[in-house]
Amino acid sequence: MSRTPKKPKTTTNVIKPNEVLSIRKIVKSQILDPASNPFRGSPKEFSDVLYLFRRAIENGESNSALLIGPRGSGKSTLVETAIKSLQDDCEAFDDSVIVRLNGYVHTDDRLALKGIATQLQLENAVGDKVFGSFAENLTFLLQCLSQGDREHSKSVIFILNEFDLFCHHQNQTLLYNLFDVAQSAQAPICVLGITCRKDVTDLLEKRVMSRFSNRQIHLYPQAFETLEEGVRNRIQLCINLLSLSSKDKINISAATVAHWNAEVESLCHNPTVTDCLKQMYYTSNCERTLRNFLLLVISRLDDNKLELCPSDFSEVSKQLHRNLRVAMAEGLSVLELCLLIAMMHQNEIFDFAPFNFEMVFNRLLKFEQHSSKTMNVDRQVVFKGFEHLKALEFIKPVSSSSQVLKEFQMFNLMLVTDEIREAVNNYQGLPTEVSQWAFSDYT
Amino acid sequence: MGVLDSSFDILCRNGEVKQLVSLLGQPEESIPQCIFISGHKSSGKSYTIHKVLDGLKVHYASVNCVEGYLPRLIFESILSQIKGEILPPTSKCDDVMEFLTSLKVMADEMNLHDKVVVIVLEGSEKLRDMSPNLLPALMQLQELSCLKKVCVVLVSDVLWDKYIPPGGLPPPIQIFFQQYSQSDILKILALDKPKDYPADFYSNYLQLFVAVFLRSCRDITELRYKAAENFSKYCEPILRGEIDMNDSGRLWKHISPHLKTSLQLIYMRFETEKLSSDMDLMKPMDKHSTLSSAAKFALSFELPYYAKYLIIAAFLASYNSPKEDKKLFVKLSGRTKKKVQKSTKNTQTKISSLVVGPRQFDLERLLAIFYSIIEEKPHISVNLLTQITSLVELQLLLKVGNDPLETPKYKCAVGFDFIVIIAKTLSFNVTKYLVDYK
Ligand SMILES: Nc1ncnc2c1ncn2[C@@H]1O[C@H](COP(=O)(O)OP(=O)(O)OP(=O)(O)O)[C@@H](O)[C@H]1O
Ligand SMILES: Nc1ncnc2c1ncn2[C@@H]1O[C@H](COP(=O)(O)OP(=O)(O)O)[C@@H](O)[C@H]1O
Ligand SMILES: [Mg+2]
Ligand SMILES: [Mg+2]
Repeated sequence: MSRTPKKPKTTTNVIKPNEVLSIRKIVKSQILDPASNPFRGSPKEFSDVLYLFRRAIENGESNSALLIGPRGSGKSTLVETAIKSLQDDCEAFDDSVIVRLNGYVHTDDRLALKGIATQLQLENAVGDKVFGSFAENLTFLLQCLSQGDREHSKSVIFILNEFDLFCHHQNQTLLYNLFDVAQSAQAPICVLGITCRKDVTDLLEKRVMSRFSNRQIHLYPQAFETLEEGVRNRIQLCINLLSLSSKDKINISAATVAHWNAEVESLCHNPTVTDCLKQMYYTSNCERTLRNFLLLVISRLDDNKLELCPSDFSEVSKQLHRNLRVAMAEGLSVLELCLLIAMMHQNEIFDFAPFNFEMVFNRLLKFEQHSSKTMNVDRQVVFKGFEHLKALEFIKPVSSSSQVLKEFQMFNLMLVTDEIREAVNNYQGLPTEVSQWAFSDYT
Repeated sequence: MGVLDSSFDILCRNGEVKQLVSLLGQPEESIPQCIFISGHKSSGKSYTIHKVLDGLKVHYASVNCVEGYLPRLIFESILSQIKGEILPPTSKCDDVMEFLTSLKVMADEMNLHDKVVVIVLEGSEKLRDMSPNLLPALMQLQELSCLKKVCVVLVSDVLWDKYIPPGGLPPPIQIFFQQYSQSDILKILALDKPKDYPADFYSNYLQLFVAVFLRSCRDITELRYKAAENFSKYCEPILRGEIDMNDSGRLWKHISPHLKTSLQLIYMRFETEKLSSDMDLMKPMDKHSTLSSAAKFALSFELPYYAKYLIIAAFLASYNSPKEDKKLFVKLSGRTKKKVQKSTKNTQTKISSLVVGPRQFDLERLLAIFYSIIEEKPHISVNLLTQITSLVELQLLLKVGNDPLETPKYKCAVGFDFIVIIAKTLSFNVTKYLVDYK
């Protein structure tokens, strides 16, 4: 399977097969590892969070805040970077505890409390004790921390990821108690909620809201004056993620590093590549999408393929931007595709009123009567095809009533006409009658 | 890596295999949190991912998220597969938190923190209907569990865009399994060649087989089953010495009708054998009619006499309006009947009830129609109600609503094709009694 590059350049053999694996490893880690991705940009928001934490750790100040931003905007990254930097330069850090709760994991307050006890390493202290109320239980946990040295009790930083989910816990007991402790400064705690819901404060009950400091830190993906500037920023990010820094040199010669970085720089300015990046940026400015893309690109390297070329970018881009609904429709049998066409015409004629199997089957029968080659339109076989489309969620039931017979359950079509017609166009070996039917105006 | 590729013994999936290996194959590299594999049923998704993971010798667990499963069963299955032994009954794992804790403990014990661990979730679309935190939590397992090299592979017949809840989810790495082309299908089906037949003999057979089946079905699993079933039929005349192995023309003539009937029973594995023996009995009567599958389905029930009339009565009650009962069942002149039919034909906006679906009816009406259509009226002692109950049990009749205070209502659960066959065995003309028919 040895593949020789199409245009052997003089520089081709700068990178050695054993080096390419090291490069791949480093770049993958740059793309995926949170540890190699400290927070960038938004200095104001970053220092707000940092300040909040620092006051809690160094001065034992209590506080609460919310960090709000869309998915993938770097909220978790910001918080983890802030913690890391405190760890490095704040002496009191070792005397404080960080408790991380997540709305997906701690789905009710009992679990949350258990999670808190575990992370405070107080499971044994709790033992079989029975508490009268949630508040008592929480206070007990926090008091345990201040025992020993009364003057200097440990600060606790609570980080509540997916904060909005905690608002759905019964009576918002956990939130009420945390905010209450923070507000009344019973113990030095800092509560930071992270969420992607802008309207999150509307979810808080009045008594909870009144105990919350109402400090909100908003994080948005970097906004740019013009699209071009946004794209330029993307290209730069792309270069940063793919380039090797000088400290990564283990196993790789300096010449190779220089060569690789120069190649990355020129690749990322290649028109084919910038086109891909532009197209991606136009559909999503989420950084995760870009990272997924680059991961697939860099994964193409191996000891038979020592360098990236523009076509690697364009091929991956094609893979990621493909309309999979069309691709899926292309994989149907002819009969099932005919059912989709029948539904499409049904929608045209009845102005998108829901349909059932019988209506579609009738339409298919009409087509079959006019066509010269007889198709197999045995009712049971067609019905199986219909069920298959349902399993693929190409059609969706209007209601989930089980009282209605399957044949008469009403459905809506989840594909648009253009998608069906594209699948018809791409289908290998489709009888011409079928494609004519798909493009005819009706019946 | 070239060595690995060939050792997986997977046909026609080079691109997908390569991509999976490039993402999961190097234990010292970083691993993505979540990979989403989609594609048609039987497009080799499970087969490929399992072969690849076996070949790479990574730790993995694979669970099928059967509908209505409890998350607990999924968690415990994952843990015991990673551990390689059944968990002690004391280790309960009811929720995501306990799962994460157990996973961490296991990682410490087995030293898994920097080893690749893959969790394959088949039928992952079912996760959407379980507790709403389950799918997001599993998709971010790396972030939540602090196991740096754990990767969750979601396998699904449904596309990713049907997964995204209102709250959003981090986009996974998507790998789409394109449906096999006709030549791919032929290659994969050829793997099942019985030992004692030459390759081109079998591939000739497959060509014939695929020509009949492919238009209606591209599901490899179903095709493999059907190909094996029909191959023995194909070879019968050769074994009997009636047709020469190389006489492909005559072999085609012989197998073609079998393939056509077999196609009609696609996806329906019940009683195929029994039905085909019934078919043989019928053969002398009318050679050329191939029965539709509805017909075979209808015949497979062997309903008793009264039950047959009851189901016909139920059908008529379902598809005629009660207003017309009198005109139809009280003896009337043919003239008015024609009028009824005409008026429905003229008003084109009215959609035939045969398309809209059955209306419900009560016992009273069912029995009234039953008595007016049956030839030999049953003796008063015959318990018709038990017959009705057994029709409901066979799911030919549907009971509507469960309110014990109300009189029970029913709907007919079988279609016109079915009724026509039943009526034929009674020499009864249903269409005469159907207002909406043609
Ligand atoms: N400002 C940023 N600095 C560094 N990395 C960033 C930044 N913004 C986004 N990223 C990158 O984008 C990805 C997603 O970031 P992160 O997980 O922090 O988002 P999030 O806001 O916590 O998302 P979610 O709401 O889904 O939890 C990470 O790979 C991260 O490295
Ligand atoms: N590329 C292939 N090479 C060999 N056998 C295959 C291939 N694809 C599918 N099969 C066969 O088809 C069967 C169904 O595939 P499976 O992986 O269960 O499909 P899916 O998981 O996509 O529904 C497998 O058990 C396997 O025997
Ligand atoms: Mg986050
Ligand atoms: Mg499968």
